[in-house]
Amino acid sequence: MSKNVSSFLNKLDKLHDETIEIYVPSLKKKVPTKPLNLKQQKDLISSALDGLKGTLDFNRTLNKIIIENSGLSDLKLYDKLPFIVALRKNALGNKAGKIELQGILDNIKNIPLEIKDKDTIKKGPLKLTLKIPTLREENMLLNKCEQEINTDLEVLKEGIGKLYIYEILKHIDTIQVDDDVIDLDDIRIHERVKLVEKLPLSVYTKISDYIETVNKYNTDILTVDETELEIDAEFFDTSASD
Amino acid sequence: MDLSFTLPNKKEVVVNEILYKDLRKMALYNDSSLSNTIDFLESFILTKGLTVVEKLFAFFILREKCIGDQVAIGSKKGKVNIGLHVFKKNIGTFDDIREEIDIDGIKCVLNYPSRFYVGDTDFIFSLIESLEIDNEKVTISSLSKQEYNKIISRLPDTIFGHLEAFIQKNSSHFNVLIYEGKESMEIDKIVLNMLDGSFSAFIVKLFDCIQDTDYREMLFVLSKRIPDVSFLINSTYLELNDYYKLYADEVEKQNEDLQKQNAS
Repeated sequence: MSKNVSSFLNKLDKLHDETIEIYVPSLKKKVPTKPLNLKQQKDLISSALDGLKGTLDFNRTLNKIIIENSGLSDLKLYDKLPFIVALRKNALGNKAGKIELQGILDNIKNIPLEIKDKDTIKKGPLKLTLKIPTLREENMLLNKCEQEINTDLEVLKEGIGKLYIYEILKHIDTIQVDDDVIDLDDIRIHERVKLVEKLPLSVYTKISDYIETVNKYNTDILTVDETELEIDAEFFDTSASD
Repeated sequence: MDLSFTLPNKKEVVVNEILYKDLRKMALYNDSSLSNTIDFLESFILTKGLTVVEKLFAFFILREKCIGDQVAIGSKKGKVNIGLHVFKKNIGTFDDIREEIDIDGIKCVLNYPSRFYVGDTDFIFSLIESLEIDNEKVTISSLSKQEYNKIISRLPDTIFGHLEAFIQKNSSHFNVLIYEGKESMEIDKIVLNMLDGSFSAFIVKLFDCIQDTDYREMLFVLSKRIPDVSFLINSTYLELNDYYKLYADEVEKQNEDLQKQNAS
């Protein structure tokens, strides 16, 4: 790298060394986080153009930005929203449509986190331990899922089915049948998919109930004056801001 | 050999000749990505700091000097040849849209993009011509890929809104009318937008003039008359076409002489 560019990068860093304090539910404290930069904002908005793959890409980009800007690698799935909302508020202002983002940040502090980080399901000889994945774990699965999704309209249903399987998959820690225990982190992703596809339907329902506890927490946080904020690529678009 | 010429906006441009052997690479690149092919073509433009419109002009001249001035375009009646001078005349002179803005202590000059869109949306930041902090200035088009990525990853997001406004304000300038179309020949109008992939795809098409089998056939035929193959591959396609015509005329004349001898 040329001396001139290195010196310019130093000046840029000095000019923009501010951090914002974000409350992290899993840590129960505020952590300093770098604000969004130009490339990150563009990456978030450009994912809006690409349908089902775009949705996956948007989530992957968000996770990557949160990990990068906070410097924390073990953040849980339910830590995502506080970062999204605080980064957006810092970048584009407090209002998103009719919703005041400060109201959501207040919800994060006030609504108790009642999600179990681990849970167990039993069905005969089958025992599953469930977990709340970290953002890093979610990104590994999103990468794989994005590679497998076909964007053809004809196979869209199949794509949505795959998304569902991956959603289930990311919440399973171990599967035990009698004395045989498999830690899903120890096997390849396509083998995990095969295993999960063989689980009985009643187990799926119980995993869905577990996932629902996270979804409910997120919905409660995102609701201000009975209006729920929708988080998509448009949320980071300047033309949609106040 | 280097060629130099002056663009309609009076900018001096130096390019490297595209030789016959380079077209072989193009033929091999046929299945390659748009990004690789554009990188390869851009390596022939030696002048740094050009915008994509200036590069388009440079490619027109390069095409004219090294391959030929006729371009075949599709019509409902089949392929029609059009002279490159028509394209150049249609573009004419391009308006100056440069704009200087000050954002959070950074002086930022916006202009036409300096990078082609080839699938990576990061190219949009090449609308930034230069950045300056405390009299220290960097020109975006002169940065390596690594330097470019480092700089755009550190720029504040507040620039984004200014970029969007600049694009909106100058949207008509980013559309380039290449050909007005001809109703009698059923040829459609050709308008390229420098912010989408059609612009780079059009440039690649300009140089996609030979298949690999044709490449070998031309060499095979000409080497009977000019055995120095190294000389042939280091000539331009335009020159080889001339040699080919001369050789064809020579063979035809020899055949006629032979027929006359046989008749007498």
